[in-house]
Amino acid sequence: MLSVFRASASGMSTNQTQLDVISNNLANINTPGFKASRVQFSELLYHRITPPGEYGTLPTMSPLTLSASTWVGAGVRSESTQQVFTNGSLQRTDNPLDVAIQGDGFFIVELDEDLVGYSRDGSFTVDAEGVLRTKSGYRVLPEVVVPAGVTDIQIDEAGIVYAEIGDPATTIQIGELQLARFTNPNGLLPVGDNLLLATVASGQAEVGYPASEGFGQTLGGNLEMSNVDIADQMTTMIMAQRAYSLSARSLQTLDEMLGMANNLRR
Amino acid sequence: MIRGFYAAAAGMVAQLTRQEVVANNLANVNTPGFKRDVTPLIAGRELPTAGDFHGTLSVASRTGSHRWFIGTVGTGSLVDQSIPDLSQGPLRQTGNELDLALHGDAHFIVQGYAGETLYTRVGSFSRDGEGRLVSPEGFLLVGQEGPIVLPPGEVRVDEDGAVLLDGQVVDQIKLTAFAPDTPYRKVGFNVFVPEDPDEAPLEQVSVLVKQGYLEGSNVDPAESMTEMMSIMRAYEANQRILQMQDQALERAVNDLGRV
Repeated sequence: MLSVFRASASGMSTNQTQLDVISNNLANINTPGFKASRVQFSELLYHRITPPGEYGTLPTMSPLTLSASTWVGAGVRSESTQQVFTNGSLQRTDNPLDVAIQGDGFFIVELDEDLVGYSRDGSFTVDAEGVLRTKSGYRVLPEVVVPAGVTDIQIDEAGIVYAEIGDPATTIQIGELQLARFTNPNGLLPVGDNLLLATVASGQAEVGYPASEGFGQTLGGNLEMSNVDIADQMTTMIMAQRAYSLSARSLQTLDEMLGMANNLRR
Repeated sequence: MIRGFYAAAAGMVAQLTRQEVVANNLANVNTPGFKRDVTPLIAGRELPTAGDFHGTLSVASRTGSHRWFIGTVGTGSLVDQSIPDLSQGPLRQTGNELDLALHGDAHFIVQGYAGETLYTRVGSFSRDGEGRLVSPEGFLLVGQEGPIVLPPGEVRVDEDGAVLLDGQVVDQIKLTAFAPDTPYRKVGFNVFVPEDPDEAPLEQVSVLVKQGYLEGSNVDPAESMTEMMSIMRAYEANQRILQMQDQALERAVNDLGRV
């Protein structure tokens, strides 16, 4: 008997997941490099409740032929949540260590001795030894060291890091940022701190220089903000709310009907 | 009187089945490409009914007793089948490069996990680790030369299904339609299969492929809610008549037979 409630229950829980994803998107609207997620809905398996064919074989009865089987679905589920990799908006920060990527590619970050992470968040800092690191303290690869006495830093669209040093000021190149790109960025695994890990689903990282073929450009003094589109999220939220209440209503109706069946005989 | 029980019970069972289908339709109101099901009813078979009179009114009948054929009584209703309604769902712009919506009567062809051919309306594709275009369930999108593989690059899809990578045509999406009376059914996972596996779908289709859009479900909430109300009242009416049958029988058993 509980199987009749399955479809409605699945409708409610899947739309609840949609609301959870939207909440997370909206919570991260100001997170640099954040990419909005969306839920992929998928139908659940159908099961047959009447086989086709004839019913009634007694000669005095006219045969009853059902045209075809009746298949009843079991509802819906969220197949996956997919990140949407469109460019976020650019915010000028005038912090020379902030870098935004416009186009494809991720910054490469060393998480551990042999573990590399990827990120779109370019809000970098330097540590006590002048090593360029992310806000969480991970080293940016390839390593960039800012020597003492630097008065200004510029990062151009090819990822080359220039520093002004000395008096009179001369410009030297102190490093070159690289980007990694993937066949399927949706397959990257988010691990928090705006960091992503490569997986089988994302494919191997392909490393290259910014502004080269297939890679985006780097923009110093800017940060790429989230790509969360409020209007889109609000619309999706309203749709999810309505769908939730439709499934709740259908659950109530089924419940009332079964209540009537229970009360056939008091 | 027992036949009355069966007719009312059959009515209740049929309405409950219809409600299950409506519940599934509503659960999938936000599933892209979902096609709602409709459940037509047919009347149960008609059974011959004999009148039973003793005494002077008896007339020679087929059975030779004091009973004769006075007509037929139906045995309720049944759900004939569940049919997907293939009408077009609304198109919603998402702006994603690999979201494709079909406007017209056609399906994408996708390959299942064991290589089997499946048909779907859902167009939210992405690349897998090897660059193949996959649906969210992991089915491969099929082009003219088999599954479509796209290395990284800017993808454009024309309205006739041509796939361009960085400006060069690399493949053509295979689109087909079912002939009007082909029986097919939904299996789940947003795909259809024809009932007859040898049935070859049509090649010539008139359909537009819209990149950056997703087709929503064709479930109309107002219509579904109305249907749900009518189902519930029909169920309630059947319940009442069943209760009356029960009361009449109770009278016959307990009151008439009282010594």
